[in-house]
Amino acid sequence: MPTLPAELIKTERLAPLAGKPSGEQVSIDKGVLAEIVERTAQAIGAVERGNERAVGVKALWSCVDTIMRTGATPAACGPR
Amino acid sequence: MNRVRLIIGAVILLAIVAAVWMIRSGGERAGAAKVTQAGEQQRAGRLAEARSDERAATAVSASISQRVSRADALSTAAVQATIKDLRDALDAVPPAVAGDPFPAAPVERLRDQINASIARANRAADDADTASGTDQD
Repeated sequence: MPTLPAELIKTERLAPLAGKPSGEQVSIDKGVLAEIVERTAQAIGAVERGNERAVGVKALWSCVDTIMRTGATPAACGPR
Repeated sequence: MNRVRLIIGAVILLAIVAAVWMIRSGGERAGAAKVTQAGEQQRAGRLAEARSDERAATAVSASISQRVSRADALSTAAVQATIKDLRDALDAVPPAVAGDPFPAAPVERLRDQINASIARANRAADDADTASGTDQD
């Protein structure tokens, strides 16, 4: 197998919220705020799933590579 | 007399040449058959090996995609739980303090819940980066 291109297993990291107040106040409707935080949570979940896919691609590539070279399936590649 | 000896000599010579030729071509045929058979056996062996590698790769591909869809489902469930927590935090906002036009938003709870999700996403990235490819969950 050729080398797995790094672009295919690039992971994404997010900076945590600092939540530092600026001192300026605005009012916001509760429903609007709720929607903003929900969509934020969903976007973070999408990043997590994308990273899990990188885990899968890496595993598949190296498992198939081992099978092609040795003919044996490594234990870590089996069903779990 | 001389002619008879000459003819006998020629016949013997012909017989020797014919015998050599027969042995040679017989050996050639047997040798070719042996080489062909060996080649076919080698080819069959390699083909069987490739087929078995292919089957092993298919099985591994299935088990890894199952693993990824389990991780996917866990992540989706975590997002649902987070959204519920965020809603609960907003619902639990107490009424405005006397003198203030609006109650304060629960920014700290919202921030902590969002940060817990961000930590999950970043841990998945760590898993991918540290994995050698075969030994991760």
